Amino acid sequence: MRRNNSLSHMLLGAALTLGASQAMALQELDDSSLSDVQGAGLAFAMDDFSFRFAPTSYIELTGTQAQGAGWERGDARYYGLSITNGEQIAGMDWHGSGCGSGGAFGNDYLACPMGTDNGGGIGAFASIYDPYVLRAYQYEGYDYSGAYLSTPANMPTVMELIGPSDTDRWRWSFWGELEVDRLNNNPADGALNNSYNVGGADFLQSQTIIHGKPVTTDGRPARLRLMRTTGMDSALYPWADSNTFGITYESALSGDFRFSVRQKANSEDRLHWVPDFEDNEGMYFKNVDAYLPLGQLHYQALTLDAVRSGSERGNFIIELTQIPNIAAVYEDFYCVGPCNIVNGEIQNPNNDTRGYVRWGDFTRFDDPGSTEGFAVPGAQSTDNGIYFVSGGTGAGTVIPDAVTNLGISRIEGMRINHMKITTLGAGL
Amino acid sequence: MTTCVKKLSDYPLIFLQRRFVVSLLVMLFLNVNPAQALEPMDDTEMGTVTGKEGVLISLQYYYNSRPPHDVANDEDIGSANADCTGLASVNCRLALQLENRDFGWLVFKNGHASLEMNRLSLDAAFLGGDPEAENGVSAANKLIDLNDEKFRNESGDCLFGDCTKSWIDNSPAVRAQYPESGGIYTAGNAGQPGTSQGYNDVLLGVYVQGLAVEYNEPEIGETWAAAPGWQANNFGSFLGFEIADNNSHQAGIAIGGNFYMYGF
Repeated sequence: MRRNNSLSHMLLGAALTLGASQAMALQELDDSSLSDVQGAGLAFAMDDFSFRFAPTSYIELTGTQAQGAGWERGDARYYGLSITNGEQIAGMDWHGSGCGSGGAFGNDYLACPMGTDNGGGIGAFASIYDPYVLRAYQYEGYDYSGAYLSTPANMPTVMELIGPSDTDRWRWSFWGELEVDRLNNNPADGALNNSYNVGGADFLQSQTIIHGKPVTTDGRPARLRLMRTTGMDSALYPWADSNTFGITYESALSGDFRFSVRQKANSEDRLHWVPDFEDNEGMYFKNVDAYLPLGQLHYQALTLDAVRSGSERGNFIIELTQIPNIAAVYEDFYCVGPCNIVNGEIQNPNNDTRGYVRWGDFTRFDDPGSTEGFAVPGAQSTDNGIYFVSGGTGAGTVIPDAVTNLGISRIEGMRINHMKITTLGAGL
Repeated sequence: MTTCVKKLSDYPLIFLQRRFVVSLLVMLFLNVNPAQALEPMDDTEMGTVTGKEGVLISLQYYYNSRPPHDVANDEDIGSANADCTGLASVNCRLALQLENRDFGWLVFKNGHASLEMNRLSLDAAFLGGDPEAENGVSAANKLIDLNDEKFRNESGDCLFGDCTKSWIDNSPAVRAQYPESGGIYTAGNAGQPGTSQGYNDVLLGVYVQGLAVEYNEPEIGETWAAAPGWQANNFGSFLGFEIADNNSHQAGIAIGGNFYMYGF
């Protein structure tokens, strides 16, 4: 018997035709090819994907009016937000020109902010075999009251969006412009107003390039979950008035990073003009690996609220709720099963709750005999760790010894027991 | 799932605007010579329409902003309506209230937006089929290992055929497509910033002067009168934002690639 659901209707609906572009190949779906859909989840694959803001198009965040003495107005714009191919070395800059360094500074993929124009798509942005999945799902776990929920009848349902566990590498980039003290400077577009010109606008233009994947090195995907919290007691969570809307998010990112500010000698350096950035200069982070879990099912979630009384009324609050003060919940937060502690050290840590950021590959640091990964960097290494490449003169050439490598660094074991962010710009 | 969906749908939204224009243009490609007069179709001819071809969609949406037919210059498309005058203007607001937060509203003040999506192609596909004949994905997309856990339920049962690559390859999907395209940048002259051309797949403009929480009732010591928070302006702003271009009210965006939606 043919199963019937909303997705199959949608597939049929999209296949309905009013006409056809002559240039496109067209596909016909018959009933038999639609009969195996159950409606348990939706999958999204993206092939040959690219996304580019125009280099003159921006997202701008504006604050409130400067709050008196000691505050300076700043206007921050982020231009040209782009997600393009990171598997090909060839690329282009914001002017559409080619760029590159020959890899002398470890920046084969970090010289250009974008992949090439018509070859700029990411083949496996999300593979059909490992797509983004949106689904309703139930997980076992402790709720806010400390009850362990494990049956289909009492497990809360969460709506989750899961990213791929592997993708092709992307270039993710934008250029930024921070204008300072606009009220006291000449904000006219195109006026001769650069960082050193008296009477013009004061600003800093920068470029940010990430070359990597939205996945950790060991294959953890990013996950977003939406739910109604369970087991909140209004006496313990008065701000929530008992159960409320909750969000958890696991952030995952791995790859290389470059932040630079130097422009080529012939670049304009004017407010709102698209800069021609130097291809090598900048601060590099190689082999970055980061995982940050925000919230745990079902006893910690991001919640939304407002300041309810006092001088900060009018402001908005995002809070990662406090871990309930219940022994079983704390044990789950720190350990897999009953905590096995030897000489003060947990032997069975819960890695799902432990965030980390590694700026550099530590494989051979941790195991000097290993042949995997990268060596601990030397003072001028460009394949691992944190390093700076200084800008040269003229057309942007730099000399090899302009590399300064600071080494590798990492933060491990980041567990967030409670975090609360309150905006402060609004008020009477 | 029931509780989650109900929760989201319970958020009341308030839209206040003087002008709300949505136009949806579905372009038909009927292979007719534009010079020929159009002929009516009778029922017999209509009966031959089989519902198996693709569609192209363009979409224009203007929210408290001026559409193309309302302006003299292209640079003004998407600019604010005249009655969007400032944080206190109740004509250009969007207010959001979460359940269990009925003491006040999160108010987006003095906002306007516009969206133009041009020539998005919708078609059907077989995921792993021939890229040309069956609209399947590229070879690069198929080099990723199968993650079959995504297609299983809480008990580990496969929900999508037999959870193999072969099954996925032969599965149908909806495909949305933009051809890979880009744009160019032209440097400006003195007094005129540079311009971008060709970033026309999506044009997006958003402006919100301020965001703040507004309350229904004053607390002791506050002097303002009680009123629904969505229409109040007692607390200024903690954040504003804008999406635009240096030369217009809409950011230009180029999107390329094939988007597949399928399910299990």
